[in-house]
Amino acid sequence: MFVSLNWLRDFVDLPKDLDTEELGKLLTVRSAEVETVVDQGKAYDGVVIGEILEIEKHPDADKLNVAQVDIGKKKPLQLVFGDMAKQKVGNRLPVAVAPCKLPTGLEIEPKKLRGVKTGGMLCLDQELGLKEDGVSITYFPDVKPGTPLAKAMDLDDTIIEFDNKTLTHRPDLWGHIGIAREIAAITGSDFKIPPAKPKVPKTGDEPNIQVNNPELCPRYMGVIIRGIKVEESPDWLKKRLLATDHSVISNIVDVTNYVLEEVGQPMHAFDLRMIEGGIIVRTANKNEKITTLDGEEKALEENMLLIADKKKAIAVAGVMGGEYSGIQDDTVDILLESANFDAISVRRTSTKIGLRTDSVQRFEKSLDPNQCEHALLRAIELILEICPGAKVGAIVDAACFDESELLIPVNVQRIQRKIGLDIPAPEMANYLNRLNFEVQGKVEESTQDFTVKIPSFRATKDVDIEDDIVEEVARMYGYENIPAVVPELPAKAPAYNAERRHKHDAREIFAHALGYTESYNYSFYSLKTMALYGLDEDTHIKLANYLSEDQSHLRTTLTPNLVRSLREAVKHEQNPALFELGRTYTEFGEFMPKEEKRIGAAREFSKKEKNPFAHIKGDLEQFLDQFGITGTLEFKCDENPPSAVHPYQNAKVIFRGKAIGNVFTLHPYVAEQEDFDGKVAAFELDFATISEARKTEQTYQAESKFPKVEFDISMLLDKKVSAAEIEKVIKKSLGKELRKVELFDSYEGDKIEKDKKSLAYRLTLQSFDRTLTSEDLEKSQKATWAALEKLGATIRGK
Amino acid sequence: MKDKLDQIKKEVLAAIKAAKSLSDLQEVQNKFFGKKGTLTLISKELGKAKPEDRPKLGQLLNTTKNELTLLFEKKQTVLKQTEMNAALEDEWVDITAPGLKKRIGHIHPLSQVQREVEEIFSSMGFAIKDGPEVESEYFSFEGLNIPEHHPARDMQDTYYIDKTADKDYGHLVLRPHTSPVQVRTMQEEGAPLRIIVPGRVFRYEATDASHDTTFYQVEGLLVDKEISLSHLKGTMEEFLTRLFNEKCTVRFRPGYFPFVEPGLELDFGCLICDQKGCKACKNTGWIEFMGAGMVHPNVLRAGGIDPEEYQGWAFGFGLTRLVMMRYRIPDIRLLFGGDVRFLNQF
Repeated sequence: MFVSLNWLRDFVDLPKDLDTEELGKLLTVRSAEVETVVDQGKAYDGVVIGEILEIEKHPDADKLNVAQVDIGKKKPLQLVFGDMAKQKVGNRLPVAVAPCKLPTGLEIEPKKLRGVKTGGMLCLDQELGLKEDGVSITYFPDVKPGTPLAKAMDLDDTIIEFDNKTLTHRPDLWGHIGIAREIAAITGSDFKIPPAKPKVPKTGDEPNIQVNNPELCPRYMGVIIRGIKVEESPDWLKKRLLATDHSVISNIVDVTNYVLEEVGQPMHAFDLRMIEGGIIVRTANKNEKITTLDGEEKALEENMLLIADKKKAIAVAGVMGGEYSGIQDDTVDILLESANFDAISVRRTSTKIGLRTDSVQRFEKSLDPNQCEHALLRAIELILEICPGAKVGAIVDAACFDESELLIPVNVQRIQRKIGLDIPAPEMANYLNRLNFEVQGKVEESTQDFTVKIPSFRATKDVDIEDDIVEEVARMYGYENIPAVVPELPAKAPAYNAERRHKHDAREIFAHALGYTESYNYSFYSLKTMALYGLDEDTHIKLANYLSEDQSHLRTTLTPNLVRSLREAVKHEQNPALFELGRTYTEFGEFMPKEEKRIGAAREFSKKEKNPFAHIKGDLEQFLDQFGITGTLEFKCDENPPSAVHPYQNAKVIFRGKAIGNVFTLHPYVAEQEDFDGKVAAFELDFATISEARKTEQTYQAESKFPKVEFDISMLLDKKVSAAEIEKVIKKSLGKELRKVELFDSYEGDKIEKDKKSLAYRLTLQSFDRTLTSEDLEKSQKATWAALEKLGATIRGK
Repeated sequence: MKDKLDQIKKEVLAAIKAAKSLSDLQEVQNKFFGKKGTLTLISKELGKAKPEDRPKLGQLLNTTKNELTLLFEKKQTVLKQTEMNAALEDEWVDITAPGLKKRIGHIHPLSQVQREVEEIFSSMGFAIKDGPEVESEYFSFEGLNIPEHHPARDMQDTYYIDKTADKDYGHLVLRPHTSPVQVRTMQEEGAPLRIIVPGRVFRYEATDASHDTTFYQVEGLLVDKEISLSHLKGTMEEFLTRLFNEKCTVRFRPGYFPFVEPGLELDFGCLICDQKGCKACKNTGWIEFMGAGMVHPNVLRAGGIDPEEYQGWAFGFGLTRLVMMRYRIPDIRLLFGGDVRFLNQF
């Protein structure tokens, strides 16, 4: 919102030499954020009115001219200008004298154009930022050359721009009166609202007003004014509207906008000709439509509040007027509306029909119905000033709002305790009184409780409990004056969040031991992704609103998005590896979905890599080992693997008998669809389970004092006999003296039968109580051979 | 015998000095130090000396022997290295060529900063809490004193789940802030309470360089009997000073959030320009950091805490923004996905 300092001075007594920058800073820390403070005059530093004395063609450029310009100095200024706007001798127009900078950011330097010196520039309105579009020049035939442009345009104001977001809870700050009152309160200056006292008859020419929904329209005031003449507004009015970023239309509409800016009360003027049989405030009928002032037809819903006459809708209440009922060039008689509409209703309607006007912006903050009256009188006063011949009728006031006073009892100590400072009660009372809050009774140093009457303009939404009074006192005292005190620490350590700690540890292992880089991915994916990965739609949560089809469902697995990121990584790194810690969300019939914390990893391999599964599985095992998981871990072939995984390179990860995830090579079809040249392997685990199972105690295992003995077994057997089975058999055959089983060679290929593989194991035996003898070794070997032969193995070198 | 020893010493010194190769040195070894070497033989003459001279002579013999052995070994090392070095020239490497490296992965900047934040607040007695990312309207809004028609609840701002509403908890949403965990924790643990909640949040809004559908926040909540605004200032100054490792000041501005009263915006003094004004602080000397305030009595009530007995404050800041600020990351979208050119810098 833009606020004019000159306008504020109508209401608050500010020193002539006010430091406006400081005022802006003060407002920011006391009231609402000031974004900019712009001194209009300074914005045009370096731009003066110049008179063209002489024009010659540029000697070396067809499209350029050279002018001698009187800028009020002894010697004329020479400058080069183009053909954008034809000039003749005697024209007086804005000239930017180099060096200077225009508000549009354009920097003017003295230079040579095709060999001819130019000391400045003739300025278009667009170059000065006076107009946005087109090509135009404003001439100043009556202004003496050398006059600064700001003076020529009578720009002597300072414009303060507020960040609207910080005004959300302050309906009273949406007009100059409110801001002036706030400034008076925080600076201690005098404040007054000059009363509006137009001559208005008590009876006579009055509109018929019927409010069908008083809950949505607590107050509707209307007055008929006849015999107005639609014209351009006077300069003083236009100047203030332009200064506060309004466009200028015509006197009546401009007056309504003026009152909006001054009082903060949206107004509307109807052409009386277009109202048939008086005003009816009602909700829309089924399938009702209206064409609004912007020329667009809007379909209305039944709960939307309208201003209508007997036959038709003439405005969307508090949002925008209808196209045909507004002020026309030939309008003579008008009906002026000053009403109060329900904030929620206005906002909802505005959102649904997609119109956000200055009026909506204010009504949705919950305006004070009491201000309707001053606004209406002020508008009448202004219209009579502009159209002295106009005749005002009697005011109709359909009011149905709660006029009771809001009284809030407060406790001094409680306020002090919340701020953290012993502000004396009389000081509190003083602050509140300055803000027009009326402190009841006498407040002294010893006062413990007192009652505050809330002014109606703060009582609509903003202030209703003691805590709101805490805010008023604290900000008036000055937030910057509240000391910074660190609260005392209880001698108790905070509850330990082991899972969080474990997550950070897992990251360290993945990144710094296993060489994986952490990636963050979105929680959504698309139906298309679900189809590619063969995921069941029923287990997915669908969003009711989403930005694109790619983000319509919540992920039940980390893999698809992680794989996609891996593809992105492939662009910049050879065989990248990524991991992610994130949540999945699964629909399972309850109201709240099943939300799981998971850890996922994915690696890319070259096409030549025969067994990516072995690598990813190794990473998984090393991760779990390093992370410190104790308990049985098994890898089970999935009988019905998901379609996105390699049918022969995938396993369920079973931990203590419970499936906690899976590890797999991505199906080549999926890899191909995701645009990989190489192979992809991945795994995903339930992080909460492994975090829970993480071993917290560890005991040192003493080594045996007796020597180890080793023997190797080399064998040929069916390809599909699993390593897990072989290991199980070996372990069983060797019992407690077996220390280590190591597969050190494996071969499949041309040199042996097609369905066979050749494996070589090194087995280490050691006893804790004696030295093993050669007899022991021989016995062990035989036992192992026999057991393996039962699996169908042919033992080599037996 | 002494003279003889001096004579041998001279000879040995000369021989060591003269040795040009390991084989020359071997000859020195044989001639002087070996079984029949002169040094070995002379020690046998010790027996022939007068008994009263023996200790002195024995000592002299030993020192001389040790001295010479040391010199011999020194020479041996030099010669050995010289000979080896001649062969090692074949093993010349380009020491300016880059070293061979193992791949080391990288931890995401969001995780790194989150960890720091957690550690600082932990040391200040705050417990770290979690809550669901798919959350009910009740905990996201009503419980936080955000009534039904508040703009924040529009479908324009919040992701809603396509699922029938629960009669008590309303619809499901993707939590638009970490604040629901305030009420959840109050309900579970009661007062006093001192927690932070770092976590993922969602906003239904078009993405650009500074907005994304998904980002990270840190919520803070301190409820106790005498907890004031001045403690909020103290805690945040302490936190930021620790985080930036540089004295940091904060200021309050009035702000509005339905779940706090008074509501505040908290800025910290720009450390880049020492508050003199620069591009980062838009020439104000202050960096907008977070929303905060005293917990609204309605929120305490929703959490089952009596506002007559307890009071406290809450805050929420953007972890994502903090990360972007710290590393001067110009585009929020870099934080998601697999652009390793970005990720590998951390």
